[in-house]
Amino acid sequence: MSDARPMLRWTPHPEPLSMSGIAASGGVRGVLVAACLRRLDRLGVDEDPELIGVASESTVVVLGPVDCLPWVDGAQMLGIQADLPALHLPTNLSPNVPSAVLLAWIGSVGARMPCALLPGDGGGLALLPLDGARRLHRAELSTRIASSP
Amino acid sequence: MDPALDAARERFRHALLHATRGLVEREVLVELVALAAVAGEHLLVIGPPGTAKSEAVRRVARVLSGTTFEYLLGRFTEPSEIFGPVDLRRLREGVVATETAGMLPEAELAFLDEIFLGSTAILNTLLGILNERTFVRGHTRVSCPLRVCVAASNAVPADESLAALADRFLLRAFVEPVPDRRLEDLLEGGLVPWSPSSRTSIEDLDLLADAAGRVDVGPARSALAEAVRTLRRSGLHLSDRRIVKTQRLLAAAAAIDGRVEAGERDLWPLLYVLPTAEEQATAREALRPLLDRASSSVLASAASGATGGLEARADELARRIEGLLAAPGAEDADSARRLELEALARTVDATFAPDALPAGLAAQRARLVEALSSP
Repeated sequence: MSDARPMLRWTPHPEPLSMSGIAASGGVRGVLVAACLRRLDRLGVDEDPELIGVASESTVVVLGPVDCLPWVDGAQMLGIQADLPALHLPTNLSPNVPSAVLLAWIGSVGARMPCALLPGDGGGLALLPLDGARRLHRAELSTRIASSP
Repeated sequence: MDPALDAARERFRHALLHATRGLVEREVLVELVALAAVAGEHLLVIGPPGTAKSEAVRRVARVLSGTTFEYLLGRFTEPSEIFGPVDLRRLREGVVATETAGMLPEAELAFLDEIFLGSTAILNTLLGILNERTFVRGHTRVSCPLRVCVAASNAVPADESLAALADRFLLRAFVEPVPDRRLEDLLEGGLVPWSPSSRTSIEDLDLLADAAGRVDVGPARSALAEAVRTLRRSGLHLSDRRIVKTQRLLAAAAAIDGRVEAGERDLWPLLYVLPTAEEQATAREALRPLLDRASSSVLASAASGATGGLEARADELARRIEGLLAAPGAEDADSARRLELEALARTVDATFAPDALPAGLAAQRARLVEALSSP
């Protein structure tokens, strides 16, 4: 995760994006992981056939078809807008800069695509590369639950 | 404040919510029937067979507990099948009278499927009932208690001779088969029996219609005029008669929502006055900035379908949560129910950031979260 603070504000999205994933930070991370584990229990499998995920120190992101995504109170739903196909943004918030400027900035900080861009602490931005996302597996999720605060 | 009117409105609201239960993608249709009934106008539904058109209308009729007449017209349908047979006893006396008991002239709600297959004799007589609420045939002349007529057809008629009749249906709804993403809901809902456990009444409907008649439409006029100008600039032309009558729909929308003045918020029915699906799609885009603030807390799906605005969307989501939590089994921890609740919560959170949640939706979301928190 890399943090930067360009001049960017988020405003309510006039036409919310279709969902592509869900991101959880802080104390909500563990709740999201637990929800993913419950889904595996429901499906009776050890590896999720639909969902992939990736985690940084502060954020967990799960991607997949909308009907398979878990819901967690306090998490942020992610989506993709047509002109930024490799960038997962909040579905309900729109950055106030043109897409080209946003992409140029992401390139300038050396972030790998695809990635998720979220509002960060203190008005900053949180950028999370998603190229390492892999199928959710029971053992890894259980380990993450056990090690979460 | 009118306690009787408020109570009627509340019963009406609950009954409509109940009428949509288990119906997939037909909420707009149910709400447009209700809007038409309060406005004293008629609704034409266009769509392929087997798309629950009649079921949606039948449900509104059942929660209204009104006298209903329903008929599937064909090319060989006789006028007597719709309006009643000639009274033979009086015919012997030289009087051509129609025995209307149980037929369309005595119905409070009517559903005429495949209406444009009707003969000229049927359609001409029907025009009088729709326009004047009067049935005239031979020596029979009776006032009709008809509140709303819903007609259905596979397509908008191209035949000019049918245009006059089609024009009497101020509201148009276009129904498509349930989309792929809702097929599971269709399969599940299709087997759940429905009965009208929450009812309103023709008396409630009449109270609302009276209230609509008292609504001051003045504050909405300039916005409506601007919307019509916008439509014209987009190549969409409504007859003067339809434009004038649209005010009745705005008044009904305001009355159903409990307001005595119509305003920008009530502009959304205008979209459903456009006569073809293509024109409605064009109008939806052209009117988007003007309808951005339009919404309805009761006819939430219809308003949201017209505007695409966030306020209308919030009302629609709040209404869906209310309906889902009120449905039998909402307290069950069964996984299908839970998945349905989670899907709705996802949609709410994907649409509104926490600090942008309108108050009404925030309250319903809190109920949803509570339901999902229970084991």
